[in-house]
Amino acid sequence: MAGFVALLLLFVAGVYVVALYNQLVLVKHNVTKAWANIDVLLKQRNDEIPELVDVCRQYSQFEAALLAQLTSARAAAVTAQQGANAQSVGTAERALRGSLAQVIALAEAYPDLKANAQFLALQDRISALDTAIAHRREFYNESVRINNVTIERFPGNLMAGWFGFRPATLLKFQDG
Amino acid sequence: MADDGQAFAAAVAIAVSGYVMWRRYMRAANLMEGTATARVATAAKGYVELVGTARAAGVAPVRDPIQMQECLWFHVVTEKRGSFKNNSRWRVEKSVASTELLALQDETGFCLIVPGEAKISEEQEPEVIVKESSSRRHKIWRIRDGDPLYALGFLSRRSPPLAGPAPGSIAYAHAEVELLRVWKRDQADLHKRFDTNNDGRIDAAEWERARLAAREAVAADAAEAADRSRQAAAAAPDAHITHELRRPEDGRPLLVTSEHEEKLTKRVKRRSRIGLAMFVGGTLYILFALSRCVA
Repeated sequence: MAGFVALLLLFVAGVYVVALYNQLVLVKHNVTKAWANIDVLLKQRNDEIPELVDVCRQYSQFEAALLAQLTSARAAAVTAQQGANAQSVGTAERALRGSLAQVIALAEAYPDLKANAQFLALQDRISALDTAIAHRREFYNESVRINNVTIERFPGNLMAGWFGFRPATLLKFQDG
Repeated sequence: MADDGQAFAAAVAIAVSGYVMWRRYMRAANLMEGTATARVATAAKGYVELVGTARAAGVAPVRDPIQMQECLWFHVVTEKRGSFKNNSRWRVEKSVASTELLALQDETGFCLIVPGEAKISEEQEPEVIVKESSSRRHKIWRIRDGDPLYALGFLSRRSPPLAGPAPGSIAYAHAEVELLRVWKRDQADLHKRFDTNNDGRIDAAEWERARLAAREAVAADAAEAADRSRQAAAAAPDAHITHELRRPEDGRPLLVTSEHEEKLTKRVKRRSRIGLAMFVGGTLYILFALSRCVA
């Protein structure tokens, strides 16, 4: 009888361990998926920036140094994105967003540029993509939080240690 | 002896149903806890959790058949008290749920939910229990316009209505051939339109012009159909609902409830633990009975 009870308890523990392992796989997969969903939008947004730079360049008096800064910030963002590292993507994004905001702000001083249909369309597209990126970043960070809590909570921490599940990094676009 | 047999059968039933309940609710709790909340308009296609407010999906509100109260969705379970001796348990006599579509609105947009595919409010207590008599009662669950709504399911963008063949498609080429066939039936008209050198026959160059004209006519028809379709879609009462939430094909559930996520998760976990207790208790009894038989 005692042997059967021990077997029963072992069975219950086995089912629980399998469920816990599957949960760790689920939350890890959710983080990967959430990252892929941001990645695709960042790429789309980065693809729009050279066009924005080209439109601004048509206005000879537009500050060339600022456009060069935006171009190099974009290049850094693209490189960081290829590395798929949330921390370096966050750092590169901060620089890119700063340059982009400066270009858009400076465009206010050029009525012709402000009235340019292509510039307006690009500005709208980039703005819409930024909103979607912000929402998906929230979703990604929430997935990271769930992943990290599952990994750190007992008994998930034991399983995570045994099977090599690692905590993920939050994606921050602002300091602090 | 007969009582022992009944008790054994009951223990088997409790153990089996407890196991099913334990696994089912544990899986649901894991899915709810493991899935982050997305926003309708900016979420990518896939299995997501949405939190928002219940809204009508462009259809008139329904009324529950017992109290006739207006709502977006209802589920009525009619129960009858058992009339056997020593058995006063309530038994389900009839279960009716509305099948009208409803929508979930969050700060970014609207998402359609197909109730027929969803497990709605199953874990929640009924909103009201109406007693018809001492032996008959109705349990009513309702979702009203403006109620908080939590949903877990496969999100995708709604397909636009079909608007005729797309350029480059086989159907498009077929439409072009079909139009030329119609024109060929009226030879007089065909010559009048395309026999530009008036030699009484359609040569290769003239036939090429006829083909080009047919292609242009098909393109114009397709553009007109697309325009009509766009206008119809924009005028539709559910035009603002850009996404839909369905049950995924991989067996994961489509859960919809007007209960708060945290409360629901707690309830689901509690049921999972009850299932586990039933399984362990039932199995222990089975083992005990078997060991007694062997002894």
